Amino acid sequence: MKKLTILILSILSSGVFSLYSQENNGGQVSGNFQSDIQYYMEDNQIGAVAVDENVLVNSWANFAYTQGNFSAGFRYEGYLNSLLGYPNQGGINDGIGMPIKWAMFNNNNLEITVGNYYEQFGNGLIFRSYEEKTLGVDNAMMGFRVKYTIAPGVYLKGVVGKQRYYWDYGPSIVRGVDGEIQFNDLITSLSESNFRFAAGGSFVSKFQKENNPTYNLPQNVGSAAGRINMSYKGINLSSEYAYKINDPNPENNYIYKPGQAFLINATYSQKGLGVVLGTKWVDNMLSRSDRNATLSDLTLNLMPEISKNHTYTLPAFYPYASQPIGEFGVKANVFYKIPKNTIIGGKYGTTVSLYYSRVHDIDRTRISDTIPEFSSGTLGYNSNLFSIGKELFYQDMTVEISRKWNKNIYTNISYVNLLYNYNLLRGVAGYDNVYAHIGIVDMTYKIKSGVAIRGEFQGMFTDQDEGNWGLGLIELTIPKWFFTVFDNWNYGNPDSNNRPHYLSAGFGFVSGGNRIQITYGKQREGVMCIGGVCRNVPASNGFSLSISSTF
Amino acid sequence: MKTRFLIYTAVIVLGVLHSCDKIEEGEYLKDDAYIWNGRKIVILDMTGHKCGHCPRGHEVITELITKYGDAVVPIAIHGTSNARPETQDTALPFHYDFRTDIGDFLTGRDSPGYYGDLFLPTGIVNSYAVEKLSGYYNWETQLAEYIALYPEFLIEIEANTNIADSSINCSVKTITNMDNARKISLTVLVVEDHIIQWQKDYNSNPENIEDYEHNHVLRAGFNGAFGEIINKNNSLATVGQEITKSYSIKQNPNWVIDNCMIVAFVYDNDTKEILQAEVFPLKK
Repeated sequence: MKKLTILILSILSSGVFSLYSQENNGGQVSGNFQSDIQYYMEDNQIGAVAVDENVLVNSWANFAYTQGNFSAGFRYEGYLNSLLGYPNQGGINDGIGMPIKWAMFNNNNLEITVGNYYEQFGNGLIFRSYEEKTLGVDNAMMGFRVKYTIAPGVYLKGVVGKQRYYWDYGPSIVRGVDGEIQFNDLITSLSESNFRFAAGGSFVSKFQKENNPTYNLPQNVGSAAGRINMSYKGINLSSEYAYKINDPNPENNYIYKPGQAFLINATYSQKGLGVVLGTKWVDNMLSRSDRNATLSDLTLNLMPEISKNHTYTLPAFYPYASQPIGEFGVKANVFYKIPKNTIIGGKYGTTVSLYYSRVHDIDRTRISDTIPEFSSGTLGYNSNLFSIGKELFYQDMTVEISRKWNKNIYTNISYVNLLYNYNLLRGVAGYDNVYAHIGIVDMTYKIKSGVAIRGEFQGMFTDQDEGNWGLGLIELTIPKWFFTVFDNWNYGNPDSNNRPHYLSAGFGFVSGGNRIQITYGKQREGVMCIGGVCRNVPASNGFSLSISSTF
Repeated sequence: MKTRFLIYTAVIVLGVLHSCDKIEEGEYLKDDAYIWNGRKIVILDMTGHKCGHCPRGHEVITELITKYGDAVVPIAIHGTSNARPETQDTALPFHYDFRTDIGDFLTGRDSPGYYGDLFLPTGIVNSYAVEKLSGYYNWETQLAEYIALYPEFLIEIEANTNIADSSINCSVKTITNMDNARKISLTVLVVEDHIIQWQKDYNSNPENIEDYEHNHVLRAGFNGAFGEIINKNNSLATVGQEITKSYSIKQNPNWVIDNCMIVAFVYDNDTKEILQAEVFPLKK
């Protein structure tokens, strides 16, 4: 490992000279940098705490060198100390170092990667190694990856290694292969066909030593998946099925039931119309490269989200977290652009988006009258593929209408209706399901070229949890600068003495690849999710500075 | 090159495909491992202070408590002629009278009791049934049959002692934990720990031990040897249904209340299987 690091540093040291010229004998250096700095102040009303360090900083920078068929890079990271809310139990994430380093070359259809890499097989049902800095997730692989193009349209990959665990690596050795055939590329006579077909399959096995005093745990846990993808003109249909053998762990309460997942997605698109339909059925598919890991640590797979990732603040208060232990979800999304120069569509046309998703538990039956479901040391329960349980986890109905009124005015109006199973999705008990109606008006007025003012007004109406919220935001954009002020007010909190304003103001500078933003304000305690993976967001009050740069 | 690579790939794939350890049903737990799911197991230990082999039964119970903890609810029932005091002179061995009405009924005092002519030590694990009587060497095997089961009923005990009238008062709530069609009886007893008295032990020299610690000793019953039927009309058939019974008993001046506890258990009136037990220490 030391030799590899020295090799990479040697290569990159030559690249450092090219930072100014970008190129050196045909080589190219690229990179990016980000630093998020937060100054914390105590605020008893919203539950914000100060920290001993006063200021916490998350920073990282990627550097990559490419020359011909060879490339190498590294990431330098520092959490001094980690921002609140990021996974950091016991200070495990605090520190500074170079956890990511890699080198890759391509030789005659064979691509070799050594060191760290990210990879995904199919939809990620059995293997997805990825990073999402916003969530504090980074389960990069450390090891070797081989990709080989056997023939046109025939691809094979193999991986072996361990997953990143903060500044260390998880205990499991992960091995996997994935193959895919794109028949239209393989068979010359089909290359011009409107019907396109691809099929793939993958297998992943993890090995972790077993030393449990009670259970006979499988040391090698394998999972397999098969997928197809076909399209004809504007229609596309894709599906993947995954199966995992017994993988008892603390999160499934040490049951020995195999896991299954089924995913089907269909899309249709033509000019002015788009339809997306999807369904997902998941049963006991949680997979980690350490059976004792928790939260977002060492996840080996990822169930693709079926719910909408809301970007506006209030509907994002109640995000859906994927339930790999078991869930059945459906979604439908229709986009339609009312043609321009019509009475309803207006001069520029109007886009209407209808979205619906609903997620239930799966249906389970006891393995015996006298053994409750999820009893440890048993099969756990019985279930049938695509069975639907009674408990509703989440429902989202969203209507969004976007319209450009003239050269200067653009609006986006949304209505969101949410049902949120608070107890299940927050891992608590005793709370009512949240039924929320949310209205959003987003208007942009372009004053002149490069100068625009945007107003955003949101209202959430619910009788549960913290009651009603209102949000108002004004944002002014001028060349290279933007200024934002907003207030998020919990005016309907059932406790009339606890109706705080979360006022925030900031400005930023954007130039070339650089972006600097300074904000002062309060942040509400909650949960944020991306792709169905979530982390807690603590209440905070203070200044924040964000700097990012790419070259 | 391609052929060689395909061969390598096939070898890797086959290797990976074999990387699965499927654990077959029945082999989920290690040989000596168990998972306790809350079912408490009553051991009726028929014993006597003049029974020289009975300490072997006591030792087994101690081992079972060490191994299974709260899952084990022992009740030492002193009976048969082995429990008869030798003298009333407290300076002499075996003067103490451990006998109780319930013990006499079950084991017999001067003639065989409910369980017939007993040869001590003997006992029954989690049952009242005569055919379940067995030696102490079988108790762990029998206990293992129940240890991983889930309790069909839960029991909650509340109790207090009244100094004014020297009474012990308790209420016992039985809650259905699994749907069933059983006819249920409830037995409520008082047992006492740490009674230091004489005990014969054939493994000891001298055989008569003066300061032997007697534990889990049955002192009295609130509702008789077999308790009472509590669920007429299937009133405990469905999960969540509950029945509360209240009892009172006079304290015996020989009892050390701080060492006493109330033991309540429910059993199937037809099969005599004890379905769940609970213990409530009276120590303040």
